[in-house]
Amino acid sequence: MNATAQRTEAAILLAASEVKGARVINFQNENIGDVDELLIEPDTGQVRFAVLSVGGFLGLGSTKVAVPWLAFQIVSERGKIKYMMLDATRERLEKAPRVEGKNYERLYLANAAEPIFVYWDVEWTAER
Amino acid sequence: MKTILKTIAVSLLLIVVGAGGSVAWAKSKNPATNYSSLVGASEIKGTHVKNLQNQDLGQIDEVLIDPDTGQVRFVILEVGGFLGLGATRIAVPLSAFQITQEGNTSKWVLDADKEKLKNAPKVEGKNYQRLYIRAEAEPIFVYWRIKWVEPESSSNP
Repeated sequence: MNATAQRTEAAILLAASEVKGARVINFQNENIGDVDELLIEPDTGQVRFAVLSVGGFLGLGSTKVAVPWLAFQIVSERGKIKYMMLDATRERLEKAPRVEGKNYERLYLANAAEPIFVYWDVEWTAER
Repeated sequence: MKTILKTIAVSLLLIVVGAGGSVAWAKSKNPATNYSSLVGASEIKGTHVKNLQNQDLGQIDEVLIDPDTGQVRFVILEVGGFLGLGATRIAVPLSAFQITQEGNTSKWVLDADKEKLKNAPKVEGKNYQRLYIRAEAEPIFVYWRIKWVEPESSSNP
């Protein structure tokens, strides 16, 4: 799957505070969770990950997974985000790399971040 | 038509990344920022920004993201108090800030005095769509002396 081709429908800028809480659905049209946080790399300004709350979908407590921004398709309406799509079945989410607490420092490191990009089939582009 | 152009732009960007590693990102890397952690967007909101004279300029109200690339284009800064005006909001390119780590928090510095803030391009309401258009966005980059980086530009060296 080429996750980065034609990912959005409109030429817009998204407000980060509106992305937080956005609904995420999979290709089976199941509600898999919502966006809990966006993780930004300060020196490049790149949004590296969206942290998803997927506990309900998996039937677990508060389970969070970090997913590369470029793995999503963003659907917007009149300049506002409507929902985000992720190619994620229950099995794929169950095995996905999780995030514990707010330890985002770890995700800055290539040896922690790159496997997550690989898992979600997104090309890893950083030079660290 | 817009969608087609956008798709082409994204393809071009991918070609650049594929051919030269992280060329596209390295171009916009901010040398003044030394930060070895990712930062949560919700932690950025509300952060106070100071100038080089250590004056409080105001606080960050919003972070604007280009959904196609995941690049933060602008930060919306609320500067009302400092200017002695009402609530004034200005859009500033992210790379105009020096961001450094201070323990578990971040320190944001912007090289701007009262005069510079007063004349800075303002943002009315929450109509951020306008800022996507190059004709609107590029003058803001120029004002803050930040090199304009457009994915399309990689096709004409």
